[in-house]
Amino acid sequence: MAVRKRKAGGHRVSLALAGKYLLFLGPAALLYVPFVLRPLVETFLLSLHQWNGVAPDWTFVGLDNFSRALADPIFWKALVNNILWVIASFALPMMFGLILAVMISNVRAGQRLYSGIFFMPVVLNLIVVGLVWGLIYNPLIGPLNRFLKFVGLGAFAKGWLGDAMTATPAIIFAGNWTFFGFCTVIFLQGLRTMNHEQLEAATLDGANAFRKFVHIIVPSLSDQVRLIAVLSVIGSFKVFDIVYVMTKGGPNHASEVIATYMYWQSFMNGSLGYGAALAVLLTLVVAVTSSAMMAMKARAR
Amino acid sequence: MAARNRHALILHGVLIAGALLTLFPLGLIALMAFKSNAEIFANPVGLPSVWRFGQIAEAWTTGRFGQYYVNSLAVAVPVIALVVICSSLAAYGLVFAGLPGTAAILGAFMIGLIVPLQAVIVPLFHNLNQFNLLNSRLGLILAQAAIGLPFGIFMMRSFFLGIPKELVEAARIDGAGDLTILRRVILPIAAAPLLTLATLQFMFSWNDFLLPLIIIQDPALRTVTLGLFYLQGGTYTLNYALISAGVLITAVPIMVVFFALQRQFIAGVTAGAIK
Repeated sequence: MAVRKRKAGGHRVSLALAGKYLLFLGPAALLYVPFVLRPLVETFLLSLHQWNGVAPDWTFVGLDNFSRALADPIFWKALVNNILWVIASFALPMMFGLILAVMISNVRAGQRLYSGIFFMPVVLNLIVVGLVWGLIYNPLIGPLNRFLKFVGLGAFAKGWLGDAMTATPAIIFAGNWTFFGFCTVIFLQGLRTMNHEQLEAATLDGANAFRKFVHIIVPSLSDQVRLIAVLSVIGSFKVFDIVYVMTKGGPNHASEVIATYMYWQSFMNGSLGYGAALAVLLTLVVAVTSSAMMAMKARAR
Repeated sequence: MAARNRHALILHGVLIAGALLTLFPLGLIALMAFKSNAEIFANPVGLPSVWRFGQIAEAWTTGRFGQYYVNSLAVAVPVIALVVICSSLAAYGLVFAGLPGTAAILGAFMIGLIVPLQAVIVPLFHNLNQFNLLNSRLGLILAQAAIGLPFGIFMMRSFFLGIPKELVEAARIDGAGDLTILRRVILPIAAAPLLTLATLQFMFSWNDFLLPLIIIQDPALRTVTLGLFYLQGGTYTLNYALISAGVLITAVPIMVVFFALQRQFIAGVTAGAIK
C-alpha cells in the first residue's frame, strides 16, 4: 500500500515535471528543433549524398563531395579569399581600432559621440554597405576614380569590382568599414579597465607616448586582441551578404568565398550534396573557432 | 597648459577627420538621393543644384519601399516577440525550474550559437517547402526566430544566473507558481537585458538578407533589405538617384534606433560578438 502510494506520488511528480518541461522549454524547442537542429543534421547527411533538389531520393556517394572540393580550383580560390578576409579584417580594423581607441580615451569631451560615429557602420545592413561602396568603386560615377584622376593617378582608375585582381581587396575594404568601429569600442572598454598606475609610473620615469603605447597599453589589451582575432576568423568565413551584393562572387569566381560558392552550388547549380559538403567544411572552421573562444573565456573566468 | 591644450586640439582634429571619413560614404549617398541622375554623372561628389525631395517619395512609391517597410515590420515585430518570450521561458526553465537534464538541453541550444546560417540553409529551405511555409511571412518569421533563439537563451540565462536564488525561493514560499515568479519577480528586474535582446533582434531581422533571399519569391512580400537588393539588380541598375534614395530609406531607421539606443546596441553587439 505504502509502495503504491509512493509510486502514484512519483507519477504525479513526473507529470508535473513533464508539464514544466513543456511550459518552459516546449516553445523554444518547437522553433529550434524543426528549423535549426533538424536541418543541421540533414546538412551533414546531405553532404554524403548527391541530390539535385528535385529528385525524390538522395544518392549515397560517401565522401565523394569532399574529395570533389579538394580537386576543385574554385573551392581553393574561395578558401584563399576567405583567408585574405581573415588576415585583412584582423590587421586593418585592429590597427585603426587601437589607434582610435587610444585617441578617444585621451580626449575629455565627445567620447560617446566619437565612438558612436565609428561604431555606426556596424549596425548597417550589409546590402546598404555593399551598394554604397559599389557606387564609390563604380567605373562611371565612382568618386574613387574621379579622385585618382584629380590627383594625376588617372592611369590607375578602373572598374574595381569588375577586375579579378582588385575585386576581393575592394570588397574586403568595404567589409572592414563595418568592423573597425567595433574594434574601437572593444579596445576602449579594455582601456577603461586597465591599470593606470603603471601608466603614471611610466610617465614619471619619462617614457614617451610611443613607448607607453608599445610597452604598457598593447600588452594589457591582449584579451581584446585575442577576441578580435577570433571574431575576424568567424566573420571572415561566414561572410556572404556583402560579397553577394557587390559581385555575386565574380568576375568569373574571382571574389568567390566559400559561403557564396556554397550558395551558388546549392541554389543555382543544383549540386545540393556538394553545396552541403562546402557548408560542412565552413561549419567546422566556424564551430571550432567559436568553441575555442568559449573555452578561452571560460578559462579567463 | 598651452601644450596640453594644443595636444587636445590635435587629437580632436584627427578624430573629427576620422569621423568625417567614416561618414563620407553615407553622406555621398545622402546627397546622391537628392540629385538628378545627370547631375550624379557630371559630379558625383558635389551638392545638388536643386534638392529633389520628390525622389525619396518616388522611391517610396515606384520603388515600393513603403510596402517593403510594412513587410519588414510585419516580420520583425513577431520575431522579436517570439524570441523574447521563448528565450525568457527557456532560460527560466534552465535556471530556476529545478528540472533535471538541463545541461544537455542547454548544450543542444548552444550548438545553434556556434554554427553559421549556411549549415542549415539548404535543408531549411526544403523543410519550409514541405510545411508549405515557403514564400510566406510566417515561414520567414519562424526561421528568423529559430535562428535568433540560441543567442536569446544564452543572453537571458547569463542574466538569470546573476539573480540571487533566495529571491525565487522567497516567492515560492509565499505560494507563487513558476509562471507567476517569472512574470512578477524575474522579468521586472530583467528589463535592461530584454531591451538589449529586442534591439539586437530588430537589427538582425531588419538587416537579414540570406533568409528572405531564399524564402521570399513574391515581390509583394519583399522586406526592405531584399527590395533594395533587387532594386540594384533590376530595371533600375543605372538609376543611381533611385538606388541612393532606397539606400537612404533603408539605412535611416536603423541609424535613428542606433543613436537613440546607443548603449543597448553597443552592449548587445559586443555581448553578441561570440555568435
